[in-house]
Amino acid sequence: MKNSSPDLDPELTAFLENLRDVPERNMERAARGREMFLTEARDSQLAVSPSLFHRLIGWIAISRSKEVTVMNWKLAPITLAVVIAVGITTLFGSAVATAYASQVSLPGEALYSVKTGLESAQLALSRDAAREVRLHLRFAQNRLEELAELIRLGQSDQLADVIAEFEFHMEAAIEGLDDVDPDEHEPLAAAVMQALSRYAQILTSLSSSAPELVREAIEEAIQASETRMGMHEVEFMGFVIEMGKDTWAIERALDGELVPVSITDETEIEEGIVEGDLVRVEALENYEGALIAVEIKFADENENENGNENENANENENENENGNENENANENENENENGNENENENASENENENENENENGNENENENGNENENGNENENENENGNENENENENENENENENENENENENENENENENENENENENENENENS
Amino acid sequence: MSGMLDDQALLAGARRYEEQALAEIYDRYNLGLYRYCVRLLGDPDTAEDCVAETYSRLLRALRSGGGPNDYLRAYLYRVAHNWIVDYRRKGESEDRTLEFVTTDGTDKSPSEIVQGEIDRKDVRDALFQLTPDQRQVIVLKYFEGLSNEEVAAAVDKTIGAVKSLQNRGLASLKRLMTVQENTP
Repeated sequence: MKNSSPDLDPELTAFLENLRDVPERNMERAARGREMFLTEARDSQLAVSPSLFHRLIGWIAISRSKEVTVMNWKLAPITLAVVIAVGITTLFGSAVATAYASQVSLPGEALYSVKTGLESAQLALSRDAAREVRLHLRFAQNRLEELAELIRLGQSDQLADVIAEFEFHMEAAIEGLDDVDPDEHEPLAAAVMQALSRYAQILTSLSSSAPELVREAIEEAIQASETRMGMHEVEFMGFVIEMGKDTWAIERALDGELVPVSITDETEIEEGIVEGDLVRVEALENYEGALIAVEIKFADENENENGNENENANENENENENGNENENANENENENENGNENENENASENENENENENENGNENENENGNENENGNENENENENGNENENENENENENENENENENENENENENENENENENENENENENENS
Repeated sequence: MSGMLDDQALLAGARRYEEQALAEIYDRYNLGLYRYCVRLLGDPDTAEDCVAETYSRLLRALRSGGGPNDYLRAYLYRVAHNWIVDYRRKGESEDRTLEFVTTDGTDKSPSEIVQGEIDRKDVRDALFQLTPDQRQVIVLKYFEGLSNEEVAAAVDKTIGAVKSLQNRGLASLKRLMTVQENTP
């Protein structure tokens, strides 16, 4: 054998060698195959979608804060989420449906594969997104009917599969809405809502007559689904350590703990966040302590929205820097100034200072002016602050004029600081409350 | 065996949908896969379909968090082999072999060309009478030059089991070959 069995029977070798040569490849076809593969890879990347569960909690989170447009249809998403939640919960807890115990073929019966096969064929043949949504709704209802009949017959071993299929079709119907033509979107979305609502009613009305045989399983399922929905909202600030596709690692500012946060398609992420940024995270925490991010934004930006908060970052910096400078300047100046030059110098000093202050002015003004200013201010202030301080000290020592200047500066700075401080306090109170 | 670490890096990139990694995975193995497929299928077009479907299945596996961890090439051959087995089971194979013939060597007489195709078909038929694992071991080792480790990964067996599969497969092949020769 050529590669590994040199002692291979010569006849066998000759026999196999017939397959050695292959026809030359069609390079155009090969290139097309490569392109198809890469295209499919790009599509796959886009097609990675969150589970229905993630979508649900995303909607719930959104609905808490704003009026909602879910998937381009105007509905209160909390309503939608509740209906779906009720649908799932009551489904798990659903019971006998004598009304639905009609002649349906059931899992395990000979005709059942024919039935589901026909359903699959209908979906495969459909070229219309709206029609697919309606088909999924109808098939979801089919599963509901089967479920009711299975419960009536006490055949609990097939329940899980049917429930999974019901959920699959509901999810497909909801997700399918994304692809529906805008004109049909709203009425179809309403139809989905009505269907969900109707299913929930059916299940609820039937739940009281659940047979003893499956009651325990139903209760377990209810409990599981309720727990699954038992999310609560948390909010914290921290530094972005790692930004994975599905999970971010945030170092919580409060305790320095590294917290993993799941990212879903519904997560709102402020543009421009990079690793190392201080961010504010709003998340939903489930019963296992896992966090699913609802919104991640710059810590500064929260402040922007409130109107006062830009100022926090700016103010802190301004105050610290100004404060140091002011204090130094004041001390020098006061001592030197004792007398003479106050009036005379005021004019001249003012002018001199004006130059110094211009630098300060630019920074301060920018900051006060609401803050184009976040990034710029930080850098400017630090640099200016240092420079100002140095200059002031030199001047104070050497000249009388310096003293005046310092005084002027102090006044200006003090004004700025006062403003800043006021803002800080306001903001802090807002945050605390 | 060589390139195994590279394969791991490529797979890591592919899981992040990095186009460069995906393209490299395609470029590195598609020709070998094509040859493998065309040997077992006998038809270039069907072989291209098999290659395309193999890479598509790799994507789907990666998307759902599956796919290989290390022996990427072995994984691809296994997927392709599964496709080929399904394809033959549907009875659609061997019906377009004329294309193979016409793209073969140019300096042969028509009868030589036809005889060559008949011989190839005999080998394929014999190979498909082996068990799937025997067939994979023989083709992957003899034609594709995979290492024992890679072949073992492709059939999900130990190296010792691979050697045993190879011996039994070759013995069966010899027997089948003799039967074919004695069949009018």
